[in-house]
Amino acid sequence: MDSVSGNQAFERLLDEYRDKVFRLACSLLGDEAAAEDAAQEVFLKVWQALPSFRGESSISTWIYAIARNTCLTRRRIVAGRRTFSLDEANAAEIPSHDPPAASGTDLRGAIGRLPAKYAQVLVLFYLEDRSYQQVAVALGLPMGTVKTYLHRAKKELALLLAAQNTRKESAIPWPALNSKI
Amino acid sequence: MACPEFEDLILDYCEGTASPADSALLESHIAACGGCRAYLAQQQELDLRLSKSLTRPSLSPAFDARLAARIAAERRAPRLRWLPRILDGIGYLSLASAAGYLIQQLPHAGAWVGLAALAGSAAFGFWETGKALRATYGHRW
Repeated sequence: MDSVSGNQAFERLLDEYRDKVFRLACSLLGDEAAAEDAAQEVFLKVWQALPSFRGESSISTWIYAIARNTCLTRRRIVAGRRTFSLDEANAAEIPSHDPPAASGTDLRGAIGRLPAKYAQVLVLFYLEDRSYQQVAVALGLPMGTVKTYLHRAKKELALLLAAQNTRKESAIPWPALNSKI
Repeated sequence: MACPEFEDLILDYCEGTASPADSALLESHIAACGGCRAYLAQQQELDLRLSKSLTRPSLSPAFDARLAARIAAERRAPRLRWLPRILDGIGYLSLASAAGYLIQQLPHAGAWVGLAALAGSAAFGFWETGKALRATYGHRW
């Protein structure tokens, strides 16, 4: 592949996959700024490796595999840093990265409390216009697994939100508490 | 509380993937089952909230310009991506030479200690090289 046709091929890939890779990164990393950085890294790797792409898999499978590996490596690095800081300092002084328990009916907070594999499928399903097929291709999972994870995510999410509502309703409001003193 | 055998069908129904026959079955069931009716309403509300909350994010307008700058910098950079691997290889050859020398010195006690230290160094080196290779080229495997 000469330089000009290589650049044109890369630009076509960038046009087609830029947003898809970004959405996948959003679902895997849960943060738009981190997802954008990851998408940059993914396309840099694609640009570097495109001349040696032999077409053993489809181009979308190849790009999504690079994207998944890049995001998972970034997550491992972040998790490693977090573990290191917890080892180094008094854990009680480190603010928790988990969503706060008192997030009320905050939907995103509840999604953050789901097991990661369920949350990723759930988020990507809605970001990809409710397409099982697109989620399956992006995450490299069979369609049946996508559907199973999605249903488990929704069942757990309904339970979490119901529990949050119950906690809120059973909490004694401040005026009532004050009147008892 | 929904009937367990209808839970997944209710979710399929909300996602619009239930077949017409299954949809008709569910509709006749929920007419008589308050638990499943409540669960359907709960899941429909959740679906609506998720659709509103999980909207498509947008890349920043500078994404392409940033990427182009990184690619241009990469083009200018000397092609030394394999240098660390070459240095690793030289290190392993040195270890192998040292191991060969120490094996000739056996059964001297110091040689055993040296061989043990070399084996430890080699194991650590393989581990670290493997990690680096997986991080850099893992997507190809």
